[in-house]
Amino acid sequence: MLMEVVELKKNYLSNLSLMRKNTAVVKAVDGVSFSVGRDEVVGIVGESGCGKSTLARQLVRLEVPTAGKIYFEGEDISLLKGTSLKNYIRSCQIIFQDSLSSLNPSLKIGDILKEPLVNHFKLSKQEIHRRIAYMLEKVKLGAGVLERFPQTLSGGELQRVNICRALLLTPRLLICDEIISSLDVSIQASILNLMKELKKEFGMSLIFISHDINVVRFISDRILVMKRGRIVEEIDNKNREYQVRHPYTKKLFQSLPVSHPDKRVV
Amino acid sequence: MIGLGFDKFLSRFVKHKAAVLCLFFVLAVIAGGIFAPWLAPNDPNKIELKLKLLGPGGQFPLGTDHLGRCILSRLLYGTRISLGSAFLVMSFSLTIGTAVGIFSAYRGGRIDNLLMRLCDIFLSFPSLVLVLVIIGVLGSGMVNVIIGMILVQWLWYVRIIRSLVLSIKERTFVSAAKVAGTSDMKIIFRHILPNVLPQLIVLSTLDLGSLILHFSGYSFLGFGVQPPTPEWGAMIEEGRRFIRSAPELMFYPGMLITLIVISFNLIGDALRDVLDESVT
Ligand SMILES: Nc1ncnc2c1ncn2[C@@H]1O[C@H](COP(=O)(O)OP(=O)(O)O)[C@@H](O)[C@H]1O
Ligand SMILES: [Mg+2]
Repeated sequence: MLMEVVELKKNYLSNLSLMRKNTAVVKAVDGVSFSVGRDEVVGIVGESGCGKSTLARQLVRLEVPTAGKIYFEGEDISLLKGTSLKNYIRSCQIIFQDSLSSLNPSLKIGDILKEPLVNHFKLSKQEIHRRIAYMLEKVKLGAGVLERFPQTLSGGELQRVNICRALLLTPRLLICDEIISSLDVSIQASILNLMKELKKEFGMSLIFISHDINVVRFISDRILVMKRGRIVEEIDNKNREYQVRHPYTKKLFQSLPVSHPDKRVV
Repeated sequence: MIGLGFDKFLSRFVKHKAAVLCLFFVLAVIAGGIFAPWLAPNDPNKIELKLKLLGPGGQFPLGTDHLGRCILSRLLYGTRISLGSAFLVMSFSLTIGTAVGIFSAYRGGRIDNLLMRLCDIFLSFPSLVLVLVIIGVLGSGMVNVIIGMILVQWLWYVRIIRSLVLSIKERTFVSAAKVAGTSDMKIIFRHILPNVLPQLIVLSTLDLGSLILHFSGYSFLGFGVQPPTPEWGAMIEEGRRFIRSAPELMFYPGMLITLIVISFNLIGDALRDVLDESVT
């Protein structure tokens, strides 16, 4: 077991007015438990606003959970501080939906890619260049991008840069939060295939988040169906024999175009 | 600038012809102030009552004032004080405001709340009143006016910079930098500051005009620069008594202030246009 999440909750207070009484609690994540095995791809699917991003952001400490525990290799990450927290986040990276705004517009791609390496390792200039060049090749980008600013690249190229930045830290777990959702349909497949290849090559675990059941089905070993901050169903995707029970999941699967009539959901 | 090379920035800026003209005017005035000792034809403070209120020409290109002092020389030397003090107020208040604004936005929580309420209270008074109160406490004089203006001005920048930083802090690249292991300090200096800098440049250019106007205003009211030191606002005040017989005594410094204020505004507007273009 690489990661284990237990009864994770995140509440947001939305101040509707200046009066304290009128603060409403949004239960963005409402008691989520699941685990991620080594080398496993866990897909999380659910409609927009169901709490997928909030869940993902908690896993890398961009948000502090309201309640619940996250264990990484058996260690409770809420107890981590300083260097050990930094090391944890190094091995648990995330890529976001908006590929352009994930990159600082005032920095060149080359400087953006150096940053994680400089933050974590003491490397010579040549070694930094070597690692960046190596990883650029893995995400199928030319070295020409290094001298360019983010806004001059296409959406697909930008997301490859984001993938490259995350992989430079050789994470054990990579969280992909809707990473293909804002891309052109023609590019979506290539990024999805790239992720599949990279996963195999680097032997890491993935949490692949999408609102699109097709996407999640394509890449995942196991699928978690999320609704209103909860996981309502867990599906084994390995042999593609679905036994879904929850009505929401049935609805999700029924909206699929049926390519294999024999695998149709009952 | 935000992912905009300097040459590209320049080529867009020169399309704003009026602003380019204004920029040259401002630079010329600044140069006039810097090189005043070499450019001024006469000693700006030399009183020669025999030569008072002379018309332009000869030894005095713009004529003389009621004490027989060279108007052009006084304007040139006055530039040092009028523009210099405005730059001084700007750089101090902007630096303090930026530091506190970034801190407040980045920290959030109770300190942030407290600071903002403090700003609200002070900014609910017109800045003129606040500066006058400070001068009332410290006493009048150029240095005290500058201190008073800095003390009031930085509050504005705290507010503006805080809101700019808050909007940038929410951008995904800040989250991405955190996940990449970047320290808070480095996030501020590498990711947040460069992205608020363009707006700060526009803001400070637009505000410079009004600072010049205000500073001259305090001198005109008799709080700032004291005679015989040459300064534009003080010159207007001195010329006020001769508005009928010698209106040019007010006209020259008044015109200079007007043109400088308009120039800074036009340059600021052009800068904003150029930067807005680069965003879209
Ligand atoms: N910072 C926040 N403050 C208040 N509410 C939030 C915040 N972030 C997310 N939410 C709310 O939490 C819910 C889940 O959001 P999110 O995790 O982004 O969903 P998803 O990624 O599945 O679309 C939404 O209702 C959203 O409005
Ligand atoms: Mg989301």
